Amino acid sequence: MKYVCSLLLFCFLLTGCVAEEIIDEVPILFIVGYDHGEDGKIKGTISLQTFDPNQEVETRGFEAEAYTSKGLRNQLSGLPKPISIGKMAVLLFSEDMAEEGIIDILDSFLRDPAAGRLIYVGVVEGSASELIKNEFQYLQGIGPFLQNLIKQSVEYGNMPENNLHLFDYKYYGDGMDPVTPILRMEETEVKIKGLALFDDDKMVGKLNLDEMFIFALINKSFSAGLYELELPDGEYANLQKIKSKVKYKVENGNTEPSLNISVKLNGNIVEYTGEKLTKEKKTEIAQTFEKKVEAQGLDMIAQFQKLGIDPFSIGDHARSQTRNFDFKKWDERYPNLPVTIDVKVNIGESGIID
Amino acid sequence: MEQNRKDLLISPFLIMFIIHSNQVGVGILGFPRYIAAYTGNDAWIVVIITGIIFHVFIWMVYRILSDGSFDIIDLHNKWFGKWIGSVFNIALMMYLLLGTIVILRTFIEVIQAWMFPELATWIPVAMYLVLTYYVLAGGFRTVAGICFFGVLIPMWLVFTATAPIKFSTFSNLLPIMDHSLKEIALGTRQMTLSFVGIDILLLAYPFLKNPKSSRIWAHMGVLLTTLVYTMVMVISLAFYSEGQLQQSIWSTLIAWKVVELPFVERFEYIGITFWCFVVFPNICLTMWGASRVGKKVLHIKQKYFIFILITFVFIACVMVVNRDQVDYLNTLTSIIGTYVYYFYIPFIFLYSTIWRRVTRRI
Repeated sequence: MKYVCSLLLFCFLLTGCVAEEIIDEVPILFIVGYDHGEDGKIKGTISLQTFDPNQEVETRGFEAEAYTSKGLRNQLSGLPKPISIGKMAVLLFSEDMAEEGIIDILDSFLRDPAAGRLIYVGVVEGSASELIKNEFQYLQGIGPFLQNLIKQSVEYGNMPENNLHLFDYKYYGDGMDPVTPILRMEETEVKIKGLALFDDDKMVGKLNLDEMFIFALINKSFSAGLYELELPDGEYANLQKIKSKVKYKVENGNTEPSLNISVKLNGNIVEYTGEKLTKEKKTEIAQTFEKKVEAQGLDMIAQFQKLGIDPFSIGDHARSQTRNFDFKKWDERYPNLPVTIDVKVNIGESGIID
Repeated sequence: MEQNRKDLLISPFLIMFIIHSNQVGVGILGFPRYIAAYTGNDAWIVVIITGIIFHVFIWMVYRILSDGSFDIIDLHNKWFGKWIGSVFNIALMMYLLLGTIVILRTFIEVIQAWMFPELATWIPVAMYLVLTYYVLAGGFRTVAGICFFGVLIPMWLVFTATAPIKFSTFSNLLPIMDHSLKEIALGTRQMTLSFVGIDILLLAYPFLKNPKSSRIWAHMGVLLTTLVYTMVMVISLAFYSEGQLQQSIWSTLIAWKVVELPFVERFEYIGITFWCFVVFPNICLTMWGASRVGKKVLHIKQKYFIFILITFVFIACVMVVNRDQVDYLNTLTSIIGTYVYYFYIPFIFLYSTIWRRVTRRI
């Protein structure tokens, strides 16, 4: 009895130990956009939601300027506090911010135990602030909307997997560089425009949507969405549920390295504009697709070599296949690495008619 | 042995839970980066090697204790005489107390760093110690029970490993055995701290029913620890890139950040809360061990001696105020632990073997 009493006593004593945070009163942050501010400052734009049991969800946008990401919080004077970043979903950077490096800002989220690692990092063509301020178009707020947009493009569409964890993974890892989606505000809607290529944490190039699809197929085993293929005779075929199985083979990693990528693709035809989908036609579609993936893949790698970046993690593949791998030598050789790609396409189903 | 009445003894299989729960503590939340600093992608091999070494230690400990049902306190006195034996015993007590302080303070640091930054250290320390007293007052059987639940209740956390696997690159483990023997040896020395804990066997031995047949369970305990550690290590190596792992202080907790559940956004909070169950048996066991020494060497009633120990641990924990000091405490324990296992245990093992030979001849 003595013990029970003293334990109960402790329960009462504990209630005042730390500051309480009540969900109805804490503003919840879903999205932050970063732009260049005045005299070297960062301009941060946020959209946050307050949950009220009696009313609807309230969404509001705020803007502030400071030198650091956490410093922005102090400047947000018109805002109820404390701000919770536990549900943060999307971090956006304007293109010119991304070109100068974003790790200083990401550090704020990587360091904070309250922040998640499944946050999407994106680059905005134009101003991140304007994109976020356009939030009133979206019923659930722009943060959750963009989170769904990117998530679905990864799961059902043609975008390779990306999030804060993978950005951090590739930033700190040797022989790899991160990629993020590019978004753009077009008149009244937000669109995914492709992939931003990073050298460490600085954006150095872009891939458009078409290239992004090929990138996703070659990058690693992946399951993509829909793809429209133009045939040499001017007809079009649509491929769906394209699954890729990828194998990287690096030979002589430490001396005279060479790379072979074998890509096995499996897809279904869901639309065809020509007369009849014969067996020969199917082979032709497969061959056209093979050539396209191979040619565009090689172009892309040549572009990466020129930029000195490695979004395909070729360096890491070389490390895993070479004993006592020497990254210094690799970095010297990488721009002139001979690359071959073998693509094999298998057309599975072609719908319920011929 | 006055307390060796039948109703005070525990079933031999419980030694598995006692050993496993004393080995696994806070270290598992962050050990991968310290090992990977030496051996990179081969760190999982180091975990298995250390596991095997600890099976040898279990064997040695059972050889040391093999005749009669004496604990190490009696044996120290028997072999080295009352004075030198007492010095050994007090040193053992200090070592156990250091273990309590390290694990308690490190876990509270986790709580402060992750959940409640403004929480004063003394509050969780006091909570833990009151609870520890409650358990110790119930005797060794209660402590063993706490160990049992301290292993079973958090066991389901193993399934959360599937979430980071989704983002893992298992080719990170290749090429296998790409590091020199020296690096692997250094990694093994570093890994020792995480495996430390089978020393409790030296004190718990007389409390086991059929102590000799309990050996298989002791080995099972170490095997379970090795499996859990290997799993955590393999996932950490695959989930993080090498540079990223070196950045992450609590890599296991950070990996929990990618667990997605519909009702909770930050899974770490649930993980840390359940970790209270993992940490608690550690504190109970080491405190119990230390209080045994007090009872047998200093002839103070265990009930009162626990009070002295609790006060001591409380003051020591509150005095540690920042990350650097916690880190220093861990390094210190790691060094002392290495000496205890690689010098002290082999030493008394040899001593006991020779002693037995000599006395048998006479």
